Amino acid sequence: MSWLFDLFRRKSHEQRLDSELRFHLEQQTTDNIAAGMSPEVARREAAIDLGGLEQIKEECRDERSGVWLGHLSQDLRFGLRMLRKNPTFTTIAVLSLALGIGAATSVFSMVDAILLGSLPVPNPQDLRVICWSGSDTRMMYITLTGDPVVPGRRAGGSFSKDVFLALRKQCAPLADIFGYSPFFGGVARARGLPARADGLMVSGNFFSGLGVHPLVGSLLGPEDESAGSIPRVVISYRWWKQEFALDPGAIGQQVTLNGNNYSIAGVLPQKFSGVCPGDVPDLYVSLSDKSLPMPGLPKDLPALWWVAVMGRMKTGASTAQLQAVADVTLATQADKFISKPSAYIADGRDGPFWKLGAYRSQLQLLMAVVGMVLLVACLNIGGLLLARGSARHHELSMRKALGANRQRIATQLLTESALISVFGGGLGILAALWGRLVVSRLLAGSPEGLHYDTTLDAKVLGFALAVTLLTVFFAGLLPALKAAKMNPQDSLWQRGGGGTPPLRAGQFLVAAQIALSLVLVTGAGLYFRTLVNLVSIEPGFAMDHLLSFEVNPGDSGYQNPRTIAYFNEIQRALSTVPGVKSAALVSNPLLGNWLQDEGFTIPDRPSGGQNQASTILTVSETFFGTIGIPIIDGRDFRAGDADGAPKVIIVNESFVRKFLAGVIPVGRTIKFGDTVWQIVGVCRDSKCFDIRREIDSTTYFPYRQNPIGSASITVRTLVSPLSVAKAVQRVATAVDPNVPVGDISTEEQMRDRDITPERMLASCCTLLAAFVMLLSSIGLFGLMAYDVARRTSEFGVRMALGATPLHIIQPILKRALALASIGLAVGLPLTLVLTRLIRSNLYGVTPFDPGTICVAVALLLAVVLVAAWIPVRRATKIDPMVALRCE
Amino acid sequence: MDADKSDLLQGTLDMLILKVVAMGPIHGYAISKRIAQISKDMLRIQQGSLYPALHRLENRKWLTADWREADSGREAKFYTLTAAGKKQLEVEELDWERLSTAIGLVMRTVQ
Repeated sequence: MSWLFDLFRRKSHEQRLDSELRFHLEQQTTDNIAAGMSPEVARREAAIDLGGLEQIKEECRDERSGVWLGHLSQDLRFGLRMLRKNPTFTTIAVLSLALGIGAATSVFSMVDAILLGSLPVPNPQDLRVICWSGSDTRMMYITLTGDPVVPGRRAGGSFSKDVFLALRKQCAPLADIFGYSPFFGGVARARGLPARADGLMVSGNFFSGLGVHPLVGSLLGPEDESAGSIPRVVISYRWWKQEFALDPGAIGQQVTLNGNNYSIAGVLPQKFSGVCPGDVPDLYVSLSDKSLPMPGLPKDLPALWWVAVMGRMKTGASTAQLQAVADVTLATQADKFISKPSAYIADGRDGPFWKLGAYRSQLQLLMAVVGMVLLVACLNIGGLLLARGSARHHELSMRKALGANRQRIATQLLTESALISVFGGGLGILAALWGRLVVSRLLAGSPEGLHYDTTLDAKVLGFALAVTLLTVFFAGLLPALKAAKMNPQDSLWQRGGGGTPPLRAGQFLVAAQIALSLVLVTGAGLYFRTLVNLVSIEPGFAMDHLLSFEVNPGDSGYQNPRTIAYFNEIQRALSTVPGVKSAALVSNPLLGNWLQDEGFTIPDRPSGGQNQASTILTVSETFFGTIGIPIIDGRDFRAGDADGAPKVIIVNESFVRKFLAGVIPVGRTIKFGDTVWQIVGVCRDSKCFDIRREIDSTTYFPYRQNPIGSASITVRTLVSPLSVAKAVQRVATAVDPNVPVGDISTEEQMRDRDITPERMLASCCTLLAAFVMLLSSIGLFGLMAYDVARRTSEFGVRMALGATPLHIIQPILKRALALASIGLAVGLPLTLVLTRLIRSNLYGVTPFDPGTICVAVALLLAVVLVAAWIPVRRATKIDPMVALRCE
Repeated sequence: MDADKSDLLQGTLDMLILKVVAMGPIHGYAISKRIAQISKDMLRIQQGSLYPALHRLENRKWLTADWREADSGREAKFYTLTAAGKKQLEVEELDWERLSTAIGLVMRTVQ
């Protein structure tokens, strides 16, 4: 710690150093006088012998430890003073860095959470995800967490309960196999009002297999799988906090889930958020639970495939062994449902990873975009520092002449850029606190965002710090090296014309910024076109004046025929609300982005080997009229299409084109499972699920003949839909207060929610592109202004010799345009390469859209001209007399 | 300037200073005089590099310094060799001997 002590003793050190050297001088002088010199000559000779006093002092100081600290505090104070003296420069530099670092940190915090994070369990590398693949399938398959892609084969991640149990038994010596299945939107009630809750149904060895331990109480175990056990539920930390305010007394209390009672067994630790990244289940119940979803179907049904399977490898067992055993098990147990089945075993450390596929590409894209923004910010600051360094040529030359060494000048300049980076980085981290929420919403495509724990942990902060440090060197090193290399005499002897060199490095930086700007502006343009295209899509029905919400009487204990009665009553009640024209029911919300497929056969018409499956929707007889989809052949559904009457369906045009080409569709019979249905009508095509998708072949069932447990209720209004939303909600709730009424939204809101990712990408990219363009123009402006200032006297002379303003303007503008052209020439191929990567995110526009690229180029040229214009005007306003007097 | 004076070999200044200080407490000016005197004015020491060297050696704890009255009656900074400095001097002397022997050998062989 002596250096610290030294620092405080600095003053006395300085005095002593001074008296030591003065003593030397005096002694030498005395000796010189003794040798016969005159006192004056003696003093001068002594001073010459010793050399520059200040330089020696500086070198002596350098030899002391702790000197760097003294220099640092000096540099810091000087740097702060310089930054305060140039508020515009400082603001631009700090803000651009803050934005770059903030954006990069926000995206990285998501990358960290989604791509880099393993499941928060011990030894995640031992986990495997078990899936299947086969050449053909015959089953009721429920997609849970996304399915793997196996080229040329059908593949899936869900199993029937029987096959799961067989796998668990057969593979037991090699791995601990456990299963789970998510449920969404259950109605749970603890102490407060009933509310929607998501959860997982898990096998008894789920928690032990993962290696999760309870925070409070106990977790579910093998005993919870047996039929006679009292139903127990494990709750998440979040739900514990929300419903019980972290009260440990919650253990053993009652929770109602969809009308059934459970007792709370325990609470999970905060960091455990399930196995599906992005979904955070709140309730965990047993896989053999009797009352949860799968409406109308027994969970033990061998044809119902609904259990996702994972396993933890035992020590010494290999994945190849597990594969072999699982293959045999599937071949014997699942051959009824899958042709040529085989197991597909994947790394499970991230959970069922393929769900992340979509996020991964988006995250990579975002990383690329923010990387470019950060790069432009660095280039810009580098350019500004460079220009400023040249403007400070004289100051630096003077300091060098006074004895500052190269290293000292370079450190001083680096300290200045470090200060900028520290301020920028600090602001950037603050910005990231907000920015990561934006990124989360961007990825989820919903205002709620992904359920990710994206606290700014040490790793993320470390990343921000590393980026900040990198920018210091990236932006500050070039100007610092340049300043250190300069020769003081050049500048001190030739002030004025020609004294400061043209900025070659600066030109490179500006051209690079323009190139990167072109990429971002084109990208933003493509997203904008995509957004416009999506908004103008006609879904095949009138979206205005439609309101819809979801009800799930099945979750509140309803069973047929009471469910049908409930649906009848809610439609009847709603159609009496003033302002409502008609009310209808549909099994899947329109434009709600999820759909169901079901396989079928057409008697007396060979399938031709093709997989015959159709999207299915169950609707009320008022559906087509209310939504506005015309029936173009046959008849609409009637109230009489109920139990006991002949089973009827309506298909859309695509269905007819695809499966019934060349025959009269009305009157045909089709077999779904073992039931025969007769086509009574054909309706016009419409985009019911996702406005981006091509229209699927769709089959409509009447709800009285094809029971459903939950539905979306859609209302056509005569007045503005939002004005009757309150009344609709009140009436719908009054039908049965025990059935929660979901959020009411208009069809336009549904559409907007559907295109949220595109909207957010478009707005983010536009914002960043505008910012980058602004930065580039500032960079160019700085370079041009510097150029004009440097050549002031030259212009003065030329104007005095009779040059017109045009003669002066031309070369400057030419240079600006030349720089822009170089930037654009480099940027164009770069743009073409990079926009190809976003092809899958675009709709109705190609990545090489010439219109968009032309507009981007024109926009950038306009910005370049504006940025160059101000310095050019200044050049023409130069008064020759004033300019020459400056010499 | 004087052509018969040699520039000091890089790194030998420290050794010379240690050697001179080893004879007893001495101030900076006297050190420069003593080196010039002993080397019979054959060595040219940049006076400017003497003081940084002294501060360097002090910082490495090979020398200690205190302020005493000089012969002239004025306060001067006197340097004294420490135990560590003594050890360092021995090391450097040994290195120097080895080096000069080696160089001498080479020169003789080449002749």
